[in-house]
Amino acid sequence: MAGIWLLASYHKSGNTWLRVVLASLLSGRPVDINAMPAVNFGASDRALFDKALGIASADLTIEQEINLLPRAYEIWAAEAQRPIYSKTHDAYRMTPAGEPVFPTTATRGAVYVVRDPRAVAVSFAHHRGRDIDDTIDRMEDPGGAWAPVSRLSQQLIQRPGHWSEHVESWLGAPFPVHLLRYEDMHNDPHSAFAAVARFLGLPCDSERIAAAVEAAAFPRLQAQERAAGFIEKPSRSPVFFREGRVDGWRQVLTAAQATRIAAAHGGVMRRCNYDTQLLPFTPSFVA
Amino acid sequence: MQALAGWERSGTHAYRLCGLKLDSQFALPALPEWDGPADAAADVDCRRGEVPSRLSRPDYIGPVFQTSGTGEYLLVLPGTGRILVRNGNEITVEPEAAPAPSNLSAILAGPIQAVLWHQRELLPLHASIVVINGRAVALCGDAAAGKSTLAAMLAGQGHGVIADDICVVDMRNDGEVSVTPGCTRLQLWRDALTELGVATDGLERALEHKQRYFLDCGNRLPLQPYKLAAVVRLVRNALPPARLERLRGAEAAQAMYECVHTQRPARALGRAQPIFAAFPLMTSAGVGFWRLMVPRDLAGLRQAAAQLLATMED
Repeated sequence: MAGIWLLASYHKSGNTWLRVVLASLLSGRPVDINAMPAVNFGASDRALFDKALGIASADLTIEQEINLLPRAYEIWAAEAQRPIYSKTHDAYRMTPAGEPVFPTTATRGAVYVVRDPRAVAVSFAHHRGRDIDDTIDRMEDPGGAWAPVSRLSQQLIQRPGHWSEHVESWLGAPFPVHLLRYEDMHNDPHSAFAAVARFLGLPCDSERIAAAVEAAAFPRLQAQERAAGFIEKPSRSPVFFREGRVDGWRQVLTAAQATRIAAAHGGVMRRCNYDTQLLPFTPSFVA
Repeated sequence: MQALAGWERSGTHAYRLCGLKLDSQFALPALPEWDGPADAAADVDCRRGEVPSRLSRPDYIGPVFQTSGTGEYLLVLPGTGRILVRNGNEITVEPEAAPAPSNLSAILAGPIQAVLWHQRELLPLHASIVVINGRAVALCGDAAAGKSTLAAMLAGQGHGVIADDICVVDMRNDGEVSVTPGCTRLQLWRDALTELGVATDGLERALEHKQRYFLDCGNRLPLQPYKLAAVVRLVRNALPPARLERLRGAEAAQAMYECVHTQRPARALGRAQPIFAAFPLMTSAGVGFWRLMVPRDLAGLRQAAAQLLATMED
């Protein structure tokens, strides 16, 4: 069985960057960010779900929708001609009926991308078009889900929930999980992506990795977005590829916000090698 | 809520189902009321009854449905119930709860209706139909492609809407490809209605658990078959500007196949070959195939509507 490789992360943690590198690696050439079919298989894609099951998810209750997700994944995995690379922002969790949303039998493994939650808070706030405190609240909400009932989205419900629980859920998943730190992608992309390629069983010779990393360099992604736009950019957000920095949060968060995030997520932050003592360079702190 | 509470009223409702008479023990507000002779015999019956949890000789067993031959389809949907569709004229429903679950009506009028058409050897497309200059244009696409929203926008510009969600294509008359009016009320979500400037006050809810409403667009047209002029596949969330592209050959055939309603049940019911055979019949009857790239915002939808009209009114 070709099976599904999950590309999992909390929002704004580098999932798209990972997918661009993978798309380049799989195709052997630089990719158009608006045409990456090899890595655009959304685990929450409504049309794919409807086609797999032969019903209309729009008519279902949220509970029915979630309970049927494992069945859709099983069909996709069973019918795939080649491995599926599927993005998800969901936590690894159970359905209301009590089984894992991502069935072990359909899943070959997961690359889990983690990013410093203080940087996530800044980037996710831009992405949502909401303020940072509201976004920090959202990252602490175990029930945090995205399931609009006033419109029909192309995406099914997504349940990322609490940031720390999201990380822990994936690191405890019952299939192989490769932990990829955003900061390592940034600081040493060659080594970080070579390790991902080895994990996924993809070509990992130095030249191909270097070419894929170069093709997905942040300024190149920004240039592509400027020239043609990016289909995954939310309408409320001015740009998708905004800064791509590791420590940009230190110029944006207040000391209180950084302290609050460290207090809420300190245990998992330390587990992922984030320094919880770091504080922002904000005027209030300097003063 | 008030309207939904009466979904499973006593007695039988009579509906017009693309020219057929459907008698139903369940209220199906998506369908127009039967307006033909009161004593006409029903072509399709939808009744409450016992439904098995599996077919005795299934050819296909999927997670939510099974089929046997070309004439039996069984849906087993926890939280809603079991629905058996036989020979294109008999629907038996065993709901899980009393009164019936709130989404039963939508499922009966949507995927179950599509299965019925497959069993009757017609071709249901996942499409809304707008009549432009007397010719039917099928606006097709996946869920959330914006079919109904675009249809509502075109209706606002004076064009008649004769079907929503399901477009039943009839090719039984040699060399003719026609469609018959079906669900003439559009089902739209609150955000789409708001964007179109339509208040939801007073609109009947189509689903109890989600903010989907029925919208009567007016623009009454005679309930007669219309020649199908174009199949337009909507692709939503495209990069601007909106653009309409003519499809030919394999691309057009692929687009038509992707527009078939409930494809997996159709294949399980042995309809794959007739569906592939439908394409050359449609092209030789003059049906054009198009792809409409629709940017996600309202301005993009307006652009798309203008492009479509400029081409179809030509």
